[in-house]
Amino acid sequence: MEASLLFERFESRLKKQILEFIGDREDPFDLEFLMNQCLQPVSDIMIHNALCELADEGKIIRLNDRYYLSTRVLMRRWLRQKIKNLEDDVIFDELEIPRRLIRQVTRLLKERPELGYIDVADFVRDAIRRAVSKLRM
Amino acid sequence: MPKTIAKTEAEYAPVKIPKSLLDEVDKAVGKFGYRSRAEFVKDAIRSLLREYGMYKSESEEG
Repeated sequence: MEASLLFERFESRLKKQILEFIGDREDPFDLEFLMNQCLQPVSDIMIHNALCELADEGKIIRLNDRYYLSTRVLMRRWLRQKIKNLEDDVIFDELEIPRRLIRQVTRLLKERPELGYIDVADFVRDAIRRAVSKLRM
Repeated sequence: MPKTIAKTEAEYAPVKIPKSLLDEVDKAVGKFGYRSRAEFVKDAIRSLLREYGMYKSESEEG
């Protein structure tokens, strides 16, 4: 068998192994990380080339000059965020509040952090809950 | 006319409220004579600000 063919097979197997290894990895990874994790004696140039090919094929995303992330992980995160936004649209409704009142609430939040309100919406929700329960009594 | 729209946008800001809580508000609006959700919510905010001694009416704000 020709040496170039063997080399091609090896490259293809390396790419496959790298992809299997980082396919579900949530954290970004770099060449150094793969070098340390690699059980076979593979040169950094070969891993670098494999990463470039995987990036060209869209299987991993190049985040910057050093780090990469699996496209599957990125897509999963993006979908998760999209679903969360959709859920928010179903669960929440927007209400127009006069800015004059919002300014007063903002001032209260700044001056009285011990009250524990996270933001204006948190205060407004508490105000509504209290008003509703007062009317029930 | 555009002047009025700009003024309205500047005077109000959207706040996200859970729909379940707004359902409670809707029940109270019908039952206790409030004209709208917005009126109920504004009243609730004023009331809690007053409780913390931080409410200022428009005239007090100047």
